[in-house]
Order: sequence, then structure tokens, then C-alpha cells
Amino acid sequence: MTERIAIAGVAAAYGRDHPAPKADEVVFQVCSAALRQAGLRGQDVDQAMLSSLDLYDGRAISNGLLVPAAGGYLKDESRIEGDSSLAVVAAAANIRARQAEVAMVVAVSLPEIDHEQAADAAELRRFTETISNYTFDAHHARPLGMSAGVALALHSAHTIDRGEMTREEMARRAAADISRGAKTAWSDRRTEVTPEEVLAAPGLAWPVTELMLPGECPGVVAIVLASEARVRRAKGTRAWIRGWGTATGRHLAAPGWLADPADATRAAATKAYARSGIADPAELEVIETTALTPALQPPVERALGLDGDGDPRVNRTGGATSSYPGLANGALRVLKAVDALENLGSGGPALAAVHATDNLMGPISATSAVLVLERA
Amino acid sequence: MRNHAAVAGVGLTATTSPGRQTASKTELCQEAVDRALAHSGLRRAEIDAVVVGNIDGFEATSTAGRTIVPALGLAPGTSVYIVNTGGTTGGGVFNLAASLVRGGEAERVLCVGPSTFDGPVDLQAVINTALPVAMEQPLGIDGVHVGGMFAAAYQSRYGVADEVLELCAAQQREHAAKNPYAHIRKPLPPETAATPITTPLTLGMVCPVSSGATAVVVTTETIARRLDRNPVVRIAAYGSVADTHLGTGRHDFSSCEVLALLADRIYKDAGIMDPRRELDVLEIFSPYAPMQLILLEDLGMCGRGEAPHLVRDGSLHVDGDLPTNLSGGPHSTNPGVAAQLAPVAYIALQLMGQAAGGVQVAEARRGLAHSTGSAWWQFHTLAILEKTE
Repeated sequence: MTERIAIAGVAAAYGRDHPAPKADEVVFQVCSAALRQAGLRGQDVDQAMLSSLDLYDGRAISNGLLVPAAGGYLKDESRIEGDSSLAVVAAAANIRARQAEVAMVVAVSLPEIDHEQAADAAELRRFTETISNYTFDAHHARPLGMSAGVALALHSAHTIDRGEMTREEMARRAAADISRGAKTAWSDRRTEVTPEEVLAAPGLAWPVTELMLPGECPGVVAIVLASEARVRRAKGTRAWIRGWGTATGRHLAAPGWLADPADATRAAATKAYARSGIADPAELEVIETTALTPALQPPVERALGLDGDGDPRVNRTGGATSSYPGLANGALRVLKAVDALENLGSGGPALAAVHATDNLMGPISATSAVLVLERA
Repeated sequence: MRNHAAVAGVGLTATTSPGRQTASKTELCQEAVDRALAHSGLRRAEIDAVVVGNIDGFEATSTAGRTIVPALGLAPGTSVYIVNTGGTTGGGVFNLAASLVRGGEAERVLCVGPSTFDGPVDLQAVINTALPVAMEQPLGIDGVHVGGMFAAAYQSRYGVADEVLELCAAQQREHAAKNPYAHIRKPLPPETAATPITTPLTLGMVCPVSSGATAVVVTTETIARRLDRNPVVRIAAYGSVADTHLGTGRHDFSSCEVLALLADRIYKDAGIMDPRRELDVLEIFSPYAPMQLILLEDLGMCGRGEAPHLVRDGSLHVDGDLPTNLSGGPHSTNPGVAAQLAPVAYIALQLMGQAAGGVQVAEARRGLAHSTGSAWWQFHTLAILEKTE
């Protein structure tokens, strides 16, 4: 087992009620809140590690605007264009490499479209789907209209075709997630829905309807990470990162991404569990996963070593179907796991697993990260 | 147990202009990776993580790394990290690879610096979108304006003659002439070189738009030693720094003040007290030739306003006491992320005794690689490499 990294503070501002019009102002507010939790100040930050995407942010090199607001002025900085769980991994690696004692991970997903459009789920989906299309190969896949939504629909259709899940079961799972999340503080889809309503929602590509897809919303999440030595002189530790693993999934032309879309999750989990000293996932009390559709829930859960059939430890607040703030998703899943660990009450050690991935190409070529958290 | 990170191998492609390039961005990366792996002695299947750079707004795609990496033939599941920090992306790619190795996350990391500028019709217009929206974009400021403003401020403050700025350009092109991977390998005709771009920059002082790729393999020092292919080059220190986004946040355009801060931090990490004496070879990112003067001063190689002496007295040549940009630098070859990663590759080759084009600094043991970019040179990266045997 390797040395632990402290989560000293976590804060977020996200949801369809777009927190503020200027991205750098939101980043500053959220990072300040996370630092206040940690009892640290901007000058204590050694490194700002950003997760954002230029095409969402509407400008080239958007980290130029965002990094100073995240405590990166005069400090070490970098940006991962991928799910924020990778930014957490990169920052944690920097702490272990002795490049930083305190790192600010900030995940920004504030699509630079008209304020009212961003508040409209369909408009937001249209925007992210267009950018997703630009992510696919320009010669072979882009002209065919490939996008994250199309890839997810292809997988869902494949799942039905193989008799592994019916469309009705997909609707039931989506409705359960959305309804479970609607009752919680950190949700974007705030209204409970029935399976019938899920099936009746606007379709993206058969068999997937809008309510089976991730609950796309704008969001900013900040996580203050610190070395074990440094956090002793901070306000406290909300949770520890005990270990992690990452792996990248198969590309569009590789055989197997339809039949085994969670292979990267499986590889990431194997590494994370080994590094965290977890012999059996039964040791986990809280599990946050990122299944981008109901059809992906069983393979993702099985890849994490679970039985894939409605484990009550998984996504107690509805998972990605309830709320999915783009690249900030991984950081949000960490926030939810930290909250859940704290709410378990006293009684000794407790462990959580966080699985996250991006939705830039659906399950294709996506890097999955699994982090194992430990209650402080 | 923690281990030092080391450079095990590098791969560079030949470069040309995007209009004359016959290979795709992916094919160029394949070639650079093939060379880097062959140079290191590692097999594809042994790579456990890839760090690849792209600059979205400058390219005709989003996160280009996602379509490049699957074509590299690596083992299924190999972790991919995509870095985009603008003009320091290549340096950021290398720094993250070093941390993944030093932090115990990976043992053999492939750094990929693709060609960035193959797509845009008007690159300067794209660069404009990286500047602050309300204050500076409407003024039409782009890359050459930023390069020109720093050069003008330096020239004005220290009374530097145009001839010195031209000499900076001539020396780097002279170095490029011997580098088989360089793009512009001979001086422009005088009348072409004198074409005004933005005061005081002329066409001869401005980098080309190039097409090419760079790859670097980073491993633990133990693995590099076991491979026994090349002298072991340890990554002794590395880091980055951020300035303000707004140009108005700068006190002084005749200097990149934050680079001096970063240099102090990196020298401390590497145990360097006197960089001029203790560094044997430098590759610094000066796409506009006069920038070299500013960067050398910020790196502590001489006092303020003294860098023109280094240019005039030949200190920066291979037989000088401060060999700098022997590759010709980005002033001669600028394919974007590939150019930002290239300083690391060229320094590693120097320390391995395998300098590009045979322009070898005698007994080079320690070198510095630099990259910079974004609005008003907001970001800088540095890495100190040293031969350990």
C-alpha cells in the first residue's frame, strides 16, 4: 500500500441554475470555499491542476483564464482535458512525487453558450454532442455522425439485441436513479419520474431517451489535496485517498467495445484495489460509479467486483443519471463519496470506491479512474 | 520505494511546412514513437501510460490525443492522459510523465508531442482567441504582437540595436542548418527577412509554422539503467509557473518575471547555485528570435540588459561557454506541442552524447529545457536533466 493523500476540502457550484456568468469568478468562489474548509489560503496552494475543455470553454487555452482563479498564480499549474478524476490522480501523483504539498484540483464544465441555452437540457445536449462529434476521427467516424450519444445508443441496442436487458428495464433503472437523486441536495434532475416517463422522453437515438442519458448540467467542483505531513497543519482531513488506478478503453475500430465496454474500469479497479490493500469489494461501504446509461450499469458494477444487480451501496444519490456536470463528474463523485463517508456515523474505518469516466466519446477510448477513499 | 525519473529514449521526425507535409498528424506521431521506443529499447507492450498533448482551439478536432493514441499500437488498457496548457503543453506533458514515474503511478511513460498547426487557415486569428475576451481580443492582438511588444520593450529599455535582434535570428538559423530535424535550415534572402511584421520584428525573426512530431520515453532510473541502451539521463528537477492572464498584470515587458521565479525554484530543487557555470547546454523556447535575450536573463545566465553580449561574443554556439538552442530552437522549427517537447529531447540527446546533427557539446553533463506560451507568455515550464554516470 502506498502513502495516503488527504482530501482537505471539497466544494462545488453546479446545476442547471448556472452559478454565475463568468467562469473565472465561479472558479474563484468554489476554490475559496474549498480552501476555507481546509483552513488554508491561496498562498498555501503549490499547484493548480485543472480539468476543463477548450471547446466547452469557448476559447483556446482556457486554462489561461481559469488557473489564476484557482490559486495557480505564480505556482505550478497544469490542465487535464479529461474527466476530473484524472486531474485528481495527476495532482496526487505530484504530491507523491514531492512536487507539491497542497494541490488545488478544480474541475470546470461551464459550456460557453447562451446563459438560457445552458439552462435548457436539450440545448446543452446539442452543444456537447456537437463537440463530441469533433472528438471522433475526422475521416471515418465524424462524417457518419458519431457522437457520445450515438455510441451509447449503439451499446444499449447491442445490450437489448443480446437479450441482456430490455428497454423497459433500462427505463426502470433510469427512473429509479433519477427519483433517488431528486430527493438529495446534489442533484440536477430534481423531479421524480416513472419508467413510463423515461420511455416517453425525447429520444436521442434508439433505444435511448434523454432521461436514460447522463443528467448534463454545468458545474464547478474544487478539491484541496494535501500530503499527510502538510494536512496536519491544516484544519482537518475530510477523507483520505488510499489508492487509485486508471486505464483507457478500446477505440471505435477495436473489436470488443460493444461487448465489453467496461474493460478499462475492470483494469483500473484491479490496480486501485491492489494499491489500497482491498482484497474483497465487500469491504467497501460507499460506491459511486459513472454508468453513462442504464445498459452500462451491470458491466460497470461487475468490473468493480460487484454482482451488477442493484447493490444498495452504489450511487445512493442517483449517480450520473441524476447529475452529470461534464468533466467535473469525477470530482462530483468524489464529493458525494466524501459526504457519504462522513454521514455513515462513527464506528471505525470505512472505505469508498469512486469510479469516473468522461463522456466525450461515450464508452469509446475513455479513460476510467477508480479511487479508493478512506474515512478520516 | 520512490525512484528518480529518467529519460530512456527520444524520437523526432523530420519537419516541413503543413502545406508540404505528406504524413498525417497520427502518422507523424507513429514515426516519432517508433523512434523513441527503438532508442529506449522498450517494447510497446511495456508502456503503462501515455501522456499526449493537444491545443484544441488550434486544431481541427477536440482532444486530438484520443484519436492519435489508439493508432500507436500500445497494449489494451494503457492509461492515457491528455494535457493542454497551450504553449507549454509539451513541457506539461513531460512534467506529468516525470511525476507519474516519481510518484509510483507508472514505470514506463510515453510522452507524445503531436503536430499542432496542420489545420488552421489563419493561426494568428486563433491565437487571438487565447487572449482575454473583453480587454485584448477586440484589439486584434495575436502571437506576433505579443512577441513584438516584449522585443520592443527590451530594445527600448536597454538601447539594443536592430542588428543584435537580427543576430539572434541568424545564430539560431545557423544552428538549425546542422540539425536534420529542423524546418528552416538556411537564412531567408535578406530582402525577405527584412519584411516588417510588427515593430521591431521582421519576418526573419519570426518562427515558421511547421509540421512534425516528438516523442520521449520516461522511466524509472532503475529501468533506464537496466535497459543499458543509453547513458542514464535523470530528470533532476522540473516544474511550471503561471502569471496573470491579462497583459496589464505585467510590471515589465522587458522581462518574463515569473520565469525568474520558476528558475529559482528549479535550481534549488536541482542543487544549482550558479546556473551559468553549472549548466552545460540550454534549449529555450524563443519562437521570436529576440526573446532569447529576455529568457537568458530571466534564467539567470547574465545580468539585466547583458544578454546581447552573449549573442555578440559567440557564447551561445557549441564551442561557447553557454551553448543555447543548438537545434535552432522553435525560431527555426515550430510544430506546436512537438516543438514544446523537443527541448527535452534535444537536451537528452546532448547528455547521452548523441546530439542531433553531431553538434555535440563536449562533456555535457547537465542541461535545461524550457517551454512557454499562452497570453503574454503566461505559462513557463522548465526541466533540468543530468547525466548520472
